[in-house]
Amino acid sequence: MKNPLEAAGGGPAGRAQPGCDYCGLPVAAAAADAGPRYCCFGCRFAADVAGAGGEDGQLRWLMTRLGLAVFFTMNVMVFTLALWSQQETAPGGPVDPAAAAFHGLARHACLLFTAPVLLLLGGPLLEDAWDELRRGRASLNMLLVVGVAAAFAQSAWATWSGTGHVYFEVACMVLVAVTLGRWLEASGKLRTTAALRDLRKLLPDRVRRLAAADDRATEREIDRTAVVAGDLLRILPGEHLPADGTIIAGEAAIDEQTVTGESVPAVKRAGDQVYGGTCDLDGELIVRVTAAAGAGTLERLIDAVTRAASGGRQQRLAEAVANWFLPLVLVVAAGACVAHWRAAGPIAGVLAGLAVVVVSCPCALGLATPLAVWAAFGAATRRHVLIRDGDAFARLAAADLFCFDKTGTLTAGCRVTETLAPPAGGAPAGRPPDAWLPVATALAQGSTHVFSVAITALAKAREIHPASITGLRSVAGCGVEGLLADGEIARLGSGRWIARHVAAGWPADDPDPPQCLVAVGDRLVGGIRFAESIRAAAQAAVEALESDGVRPLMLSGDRPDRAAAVAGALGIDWRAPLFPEEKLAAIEAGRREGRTVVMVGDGVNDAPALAVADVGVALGCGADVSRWTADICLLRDDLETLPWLKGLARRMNRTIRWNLLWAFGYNAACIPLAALGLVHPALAAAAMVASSLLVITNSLRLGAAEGAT
Amino acid sequence: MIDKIEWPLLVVSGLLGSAHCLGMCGPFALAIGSHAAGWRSNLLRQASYSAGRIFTYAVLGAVAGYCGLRLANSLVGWTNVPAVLAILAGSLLVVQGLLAAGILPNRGVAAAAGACPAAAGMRSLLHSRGVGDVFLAGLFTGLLPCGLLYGMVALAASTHHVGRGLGTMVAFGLGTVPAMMATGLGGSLLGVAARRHLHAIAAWCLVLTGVVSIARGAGFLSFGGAEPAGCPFCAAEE
Repeated sequence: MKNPLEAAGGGPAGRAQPGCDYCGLPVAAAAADAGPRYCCFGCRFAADVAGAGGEDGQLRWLMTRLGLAVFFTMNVMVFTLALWSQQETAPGGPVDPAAAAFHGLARHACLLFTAPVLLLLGGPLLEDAWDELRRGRASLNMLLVVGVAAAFAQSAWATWSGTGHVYFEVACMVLVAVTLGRWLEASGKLRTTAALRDLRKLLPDRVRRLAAADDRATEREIDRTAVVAGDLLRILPGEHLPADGTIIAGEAAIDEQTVTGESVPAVKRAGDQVYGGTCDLDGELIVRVTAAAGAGTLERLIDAVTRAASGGRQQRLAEAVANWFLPLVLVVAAGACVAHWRAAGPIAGVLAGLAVVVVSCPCALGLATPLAVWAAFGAATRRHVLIRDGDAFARLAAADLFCFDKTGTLTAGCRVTETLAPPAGGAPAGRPPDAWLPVATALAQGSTHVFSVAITALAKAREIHPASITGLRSVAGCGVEGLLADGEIARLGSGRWIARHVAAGWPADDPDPPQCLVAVGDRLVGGIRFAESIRAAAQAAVEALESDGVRPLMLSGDRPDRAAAVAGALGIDWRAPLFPEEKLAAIEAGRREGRTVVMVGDGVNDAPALAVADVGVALGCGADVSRWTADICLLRDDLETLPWLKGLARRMNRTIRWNLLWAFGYNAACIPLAALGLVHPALAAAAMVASSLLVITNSLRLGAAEGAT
Repeated sequence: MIDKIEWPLLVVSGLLGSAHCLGMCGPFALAIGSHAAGWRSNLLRQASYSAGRIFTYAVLGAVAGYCGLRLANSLVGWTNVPAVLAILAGSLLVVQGLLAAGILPNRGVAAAAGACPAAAGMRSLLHSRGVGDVFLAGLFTGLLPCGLLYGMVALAASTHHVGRGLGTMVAFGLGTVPAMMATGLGGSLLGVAARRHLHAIAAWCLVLTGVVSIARGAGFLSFGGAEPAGCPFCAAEE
């Protein structure tokens, strides 16, 4: 079974190098054979549990098996402790007959309870070890199997013959701890990748395909994975769209939040583009598929994040760990085994070697980084932030200069600030100065320009009813015109355009002429001034960043007075007017000063600046993944995410550092102790589980804390 | 064996202390009950769940008892380990009791602490139809972090004997059964007001157990090269 994260998308690293089929971490072996391969037992479990269908049943069976083994092991432990305390009080052996009888009974009870543990947990371990042996390489699994088998065989013989020590607890504890540790890893991986898996789950498994758009009788239910470009699919209200496509029949409100971040549903009609994973809220649609399963927008978004999380510095570190750590443990274990064998006999040798193998915590070391990264990326995904470059995200933690683009980043749309009567007295006497507003409102309905949107918003706020108007026509680059009821032509547009149609235009000596004029016939009747509206969250975001020691700076291509107005309102520094290459120079200058520069801008227009900055954060990437040049994309255009994101990056780095410190420190301290024969294998097993648990819960906390906010 | 006063006190600690535990483990008992076909099947499931818990407590007690024994044997002549452990356990219980009584401020646990990688597995066991799975759910419940439990484990360690440690924890575990069974069987048999009262009594009962343990330990405490003044638990027998 494959990782659902990768199942449809080609997976991280694109199979260019041998990698674990679940987490994508490198597997140091020949990749020639077929079938799924995993970097560790944990990933095998995770793949099992995450596998499609019967998820709950699978998990329960694992839990039951593990739980039974724990139960039997606990019994073994109690009897072992009783035996040990007997030895503690009477080192020479049991003295009275009752104690001797108990001694024999306890040993047989241990044998009885150990056998089922071997059966329950030994199987998968043996399978793994055998698998790796077949591939021609020694593995820790192999050593574990040999050690457990030796401990059990010696103990069974001792019980049978009534002489010598028993080590049943070693066999049980090692098996339980190894399985438990790997199971914890698996469930940690499952938890941290849940956010992305949930996204993938938005795509339905089964789809309705039509052979002909107008013939319902040809409808067949097929697997989503069998969908190819050109297929016709029927989607019912309430369903998620299975693939990208074009509507050819029907009309529906579509909730596109998962793909574009837009929280207001959009009405889509025939000819409109729709995306896989979005939700059809209220209408039946026939859609012609434009991207085959696995190549759709949502899948490419998920792939981008998956690649970012499993690539980069983290991947290289994990590789280094895999390449050096495992052979090192093998050598130390073999050395300890031989040394103790020669000094104190074969059993001491086996126990020392086993303790080294068990106490070493390769998975915790290998997981220290990736798990924290996954948890952080999952938390970001839940807040509609997609990360394309993991290294850049890590750099965000230390960012101290945030450069913002103005239009579309700090501002969104604009609003009417003033409605003016023409100074030349064009308004007919006896009428209020903005009696022309209903005309402007009516004209504004004929266009989607930001100015028209602002006029419509103003009309709505002031409850102005549009004048009756016919033949609305927009003149590209100029404005809108239409026919009033009395036969006169009304115009709304730029000063230059209106001037061509009126007797007297706006006075040329006005230093700040309105951006938009209104004319009726050849008379100029009014002018409108606009100002950009600052995004609601911009102020809070800037303040939060400043209190975090970050210097915000606005880089704008607009007129200095307009830039100053926006920057002044936000209380930040600004540079304007800047050509695109001057923006690059400003960012480079910041970097030369030794600052970590973040550029926040429009994904398309600011692409070069985003690419040059240490971290590029794009707003308004929308659904067009192919045009991404940014490292991080705020799907929801919510600036307030920025300070949170910076905090998340810092927490992620801290967690990684802490995890690595722990994992290295733990191994550096425990492996030598185990090699010296100072650690009982049962204790080593418990230590290994505790260490894994510590690293895993530490990483999970990152995701949980973020998920809760 | 532990003094005769000790056993009832342990059971009562569990009995009343479980008013404190209901907040944490009560929902588990309810979850188990929600899958029962009738009250008979529910009774079986609840009993099996409690058996699982007590089993784990017993093992913890045995391990603690052995650790106490090893500690006592390795530190002979330096200090009276059982006495120190008894004082330690008593202090833990007193703190736990004062926390429950609201005298010490309870700062609560951050939401982040909820990140347990085993949660999903636990859930699947709790909602399983098999009685065996419910037993296993109880087994794992016994391992959940709980201040009261740690106090009891420390008390078990101070017995420095595998059997007595095991017995201590079983007595405590048996005490927790009635409240858990009642919750699991009756949904919410006790009203909030009644639980508050019980909680308050339980808190002071914990403090009492703790004080008895501290007093017991202090009476036998000795430091330095002097021979141990005796064992606080065996004194009654000797």
